[in-house]
Parts: sequence; C-alpha cells; structure tokens
Amino acid sequence: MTASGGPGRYTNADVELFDLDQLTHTSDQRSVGELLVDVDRQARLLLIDVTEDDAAQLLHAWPTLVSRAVDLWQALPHTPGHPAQTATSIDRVAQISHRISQRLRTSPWPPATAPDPRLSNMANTLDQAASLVRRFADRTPLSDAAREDLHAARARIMHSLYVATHAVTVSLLQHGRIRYHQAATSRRPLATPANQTPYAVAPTTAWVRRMSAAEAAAASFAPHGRLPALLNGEQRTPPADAGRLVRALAHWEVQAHRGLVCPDWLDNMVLITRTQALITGTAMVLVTAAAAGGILDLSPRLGPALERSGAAWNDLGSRWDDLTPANVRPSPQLLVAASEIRAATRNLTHDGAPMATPHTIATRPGFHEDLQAVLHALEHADELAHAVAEKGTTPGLTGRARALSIRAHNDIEAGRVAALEGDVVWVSPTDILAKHMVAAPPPVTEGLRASGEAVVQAATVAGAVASPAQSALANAQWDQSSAPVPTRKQAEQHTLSTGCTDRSEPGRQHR
Amino acid sequence: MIGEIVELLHQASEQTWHDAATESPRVSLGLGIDLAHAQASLLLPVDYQIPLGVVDGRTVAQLLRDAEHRTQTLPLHRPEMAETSDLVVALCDLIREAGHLDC
Repeated sequence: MTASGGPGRYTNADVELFDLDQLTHTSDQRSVGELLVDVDRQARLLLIDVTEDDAAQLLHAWPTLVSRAVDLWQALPHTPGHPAQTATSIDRVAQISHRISQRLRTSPWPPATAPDPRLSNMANTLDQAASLVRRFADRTPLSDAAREDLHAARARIMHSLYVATHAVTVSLLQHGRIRYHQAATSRRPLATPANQTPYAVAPTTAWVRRMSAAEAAAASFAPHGRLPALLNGEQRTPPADAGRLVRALAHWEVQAHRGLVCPDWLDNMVLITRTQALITGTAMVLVTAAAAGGILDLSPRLGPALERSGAAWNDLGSRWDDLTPANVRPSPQLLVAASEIRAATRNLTHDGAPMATPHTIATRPGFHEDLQAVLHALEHADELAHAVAEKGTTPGLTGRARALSIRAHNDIEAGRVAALEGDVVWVSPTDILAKHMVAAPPPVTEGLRASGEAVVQAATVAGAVASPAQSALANAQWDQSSAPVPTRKQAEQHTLSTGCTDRSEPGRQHR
Repeated sequence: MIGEIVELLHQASEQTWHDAATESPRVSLGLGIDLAHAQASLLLPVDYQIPLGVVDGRTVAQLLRDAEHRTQTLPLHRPEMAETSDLVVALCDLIREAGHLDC
C-alpha cells in the first residue's frame, strides 16, 4: 500500500502515517510538558547526588544533553517578541558545548568513558519531547494560552540545562579538590596558584572554566536578565581566591552597619546576628587549624572567648528571630554581603559539604591572610555589637505569639529574667491559636536587652584576646613557602573544643 | 506555594540554629537556609502573611526536600518567577549539605 498506489485513497501528507521511522513507537504516554517536568526533576536529583567520581562521565554526556535541548528548542514553534524565547542563551550554550565536544576527542582528560546515565536519560527524554513536537505540533497561529505554554516549555528547558550544568561544575570542582589533597600528601604536591582556585587543578582547570561559562550562559535565560548577584558571585569567583574573605569581611562590615540604620532594620537583625555567629565560628575553626599547624601560639583564653562570643551572637539571633515575621525581607545588599561571607568561609573551612581537617585548612592558599582578616574583624566586632544591642531597647517590638510565649516562660524558668509572683499568662492563648504578631511581653524585652549586653561583653573580650594574636601574626612575617607544613597527625591532635551548645536556647515545646 | 516554601525554610532554619551555637558546620548550614528563606520571601508580595504551622517531627533535610518538591510546580516562565531557578539551585545545594551533616 502506498500513498499514490490507491486511486486517491491517501494524500502525500498521509505517507508518514505508514512510515515506521516517522512514528513515535513508545508505550510512554507522557506529553511534552510532562517530559520536560521529568527532565527538570532529573536535573535536580543529579545536582543533589553528584560526586567527584562522576566528573568524566558527566563531561562526556553533557554535549549530547545540550544538543538534544537545542533540537527541542528549535522544534518548538517560533513566536517572536517574548523575552523567554530569546535564542541568545541557548545559542551560547550550544557554542560552548560544540567546543567541549571537539575538545573531548583530543584531550587526554577525561579519558574515554561511557556517558553519565542520568544525563543520557535526560537527553533521551528531551529527544522524545522533540520527536513529539516535530510530529504533532500545531503550526497554525497559536492562542494566547498556547503561547504561554510555549514560553513555559522554553523556560523549563533552560532551567534544566542550568541545573544540570551546575551539577557538572560541582562534580569537576569536587574532583579537583580530591586531586589537590591527594597530591598534597605525596612527594610532588601541586603548585598552589596565588589567585586561583587550587581545586581547578590541571587537567580540570579548562573544563571548570568552560562549564562555568556554560552555566552563566544558561542562567542568563531569565527574563529581563535578572540574576541574583549572590549566586553568580559564589560560582564565578575562584573558591580559594586569597583575598576573597578579606574583601567579603570588609564589605560585610559596611553593609551590616547600613542594615542597622535603614528604615527596615528589623528585617535585617536575624541575618546580621547570625552572620556574626558564623564569622566567630569560622574564627574558631581557623584558630584551631593555625594552632595545629604551628602558625599561631594558642592563648588559653582565645578558645573560650570565641566560644562565648559565638554562643552569645547565636542566642541574640534566635531572640530576634522570634521578633521577626516569617516572610522577612532583608535588604538585598545585606543578603549579597552575607552570602559572600558564607561562600568565602565555606571555601576555607569546608571540603564540599563536610568540614575540612585542620591540616587541610592550614595549608590552603591565603590561609594566613584570611586568619588575619577574621581576627581583625573580631577586634572590631564590639562596635557592631553595641549598635545591635541598642536596637534591643527599641519600644513597641512585636513578634510571633507562640515564639514569644515560649521565650518568656523559658527565660523565667531558667532564671534569666526576674519572675513575678504567680503564674502569669504573658501571651494570650487566642493570639497563639490565631498565630498573631503581638507586642513583646516584658520578660522577652528584658531577655533581649540582657542578651544584647552579653553579646557586647563577649565580643569585647573576644576582640581583646584576638588583638594580640592578630598582632603576632602580622609581626611574624609568616612565609607560606618556608613554614613547616604540619603532619596530619599533628593537626588532628590540636583541636579546640567545639562542643559548645547554646544552653540558653529555649526548648521548643509549647507551654 | 512560595508561602509554603518560606514556611518550610523558616522551620528548617529554627531547627538548624537550635543546637548550632559555635559549631561551624551547622552555623554555616543555618545561615545558608536563612539566605534561601530570604530569597524565597522576596518572591512574595510585601504584605503577604505566612500562616506558620505547628513544628512537626521532620528533619532539616526532609524540610528542605519538601521545599524543593514544592518548587517543581512553580511557573518558571513568568517574569516574577525569574529568580526561582536560583532558589532551586540553592535548595539542592542545601539538601546535599544537610545530608552530609546528618541533619
């Protein structure tokens, strides 16, 4: 039977009805939209579970994924005039993918290997979606609803590419980190570049650079080109840039003070206090590593002072959290500064998600400068502590009814604030049930003021103890190249007690 | 939906900071959750009120996974949702961190 065989029985357009290659032979009944949701889901799972061992396979699979995404993008009906369908981002990713694909054929690393099955599965799903679109897409003018659906499909394609590309970058950096540490313990350690990530070690350097470019291109699909500067900064700045933490701390100090004087200062309090807690905690980790590495003579007062300061900032943060609505909107500049602090400190103190060993931390490029910067920040933390403590005296503070009730009762029970005679109901059960924001009762405001004073006291003591350490470091003219590198055993023997638990933190049981 | 994500992140933040004190890994995770929480809050209308639920027995990792699960149905193509991709990436990173810390 042919289209023209029967006298007028089939038109030419019906030929493909009998062409086995044109038919979508699958028991999969999912629509294009459902397939795209599946790709999105797979990308997220990949990012959650990615490890350093996946780097080579992911790199080999990534160009195919991009190729399939481009195929689908081009198969979708063209509707000009909407920012979501701009071809610039996908074209840029496709160009980078093409170069990576060529390079993979000639580069000694990564070795030839089977492509990652997860990315391949995503590519197949995209291919299936493209096949459906080519076969069944309606080429007639689209309705408004269909046009919206089309924009959603394009957005989901780029979003999935972005997440998957980020996963490849994460894997490459983890791979580089492992190589770096393995080499560090051998007789031929890798050279530590001054202003570059030590984890993008050869031969992964170029791949990290290319994938970062692809990631940035994929991320730029967002309408109006809006991309949160915080995440971009985290991904593009070399992780072990020696000056990163120094710059981040300087920027943070300015933004934290600005955050306290702006009209919406209340929304910034939790972020300010908890970021200070992180800085203090990081100082503890760095001091421990420095002591283990013989870089710093650990004063017996320094560890406890830092512990008290960190616990005090944390306690104050949890108290301001009670006074903040759940939909808190901190200042965007403060968010960027806090994100950068977190990213910079993690690069120094963490190995991927878990903590790095003191030995690893002490031998990182720029450790000396970062330690000095953190100690310097602690020296001046009392200024911020005073400003934060003053905010605790602001009249008319309100907070979440349930949280304030728990706080008031726990503070009285713990003897932190004076108790009145009899059992006082500080917050009406009606307000608790209705989840209202209510005026802070006296025990809460009293506890807040006391916590603020405790922060000032602890920060002042920590600053005073950190000051000589910082001076000693500055005078030591420590030369990283000639400094004795501590053995792993030495490093593990020198550990500060970090088992401090904030005893003042109230229980969360509702009274 | 964003409101639910904000609520879940708020709960995850409270749990993470509860025992954190000076111990750095949890402090860093807690601040990361706070930042994601703020990111999500910025996607809400200014006057949006979040009805906070009762704290349940879910772990931090479970709360983060639930928050990520809710992002799957968000309309990513709409201009006001432009920053959702970054929130998703942040959530996935936090889930991985929480998994390593057994939170």
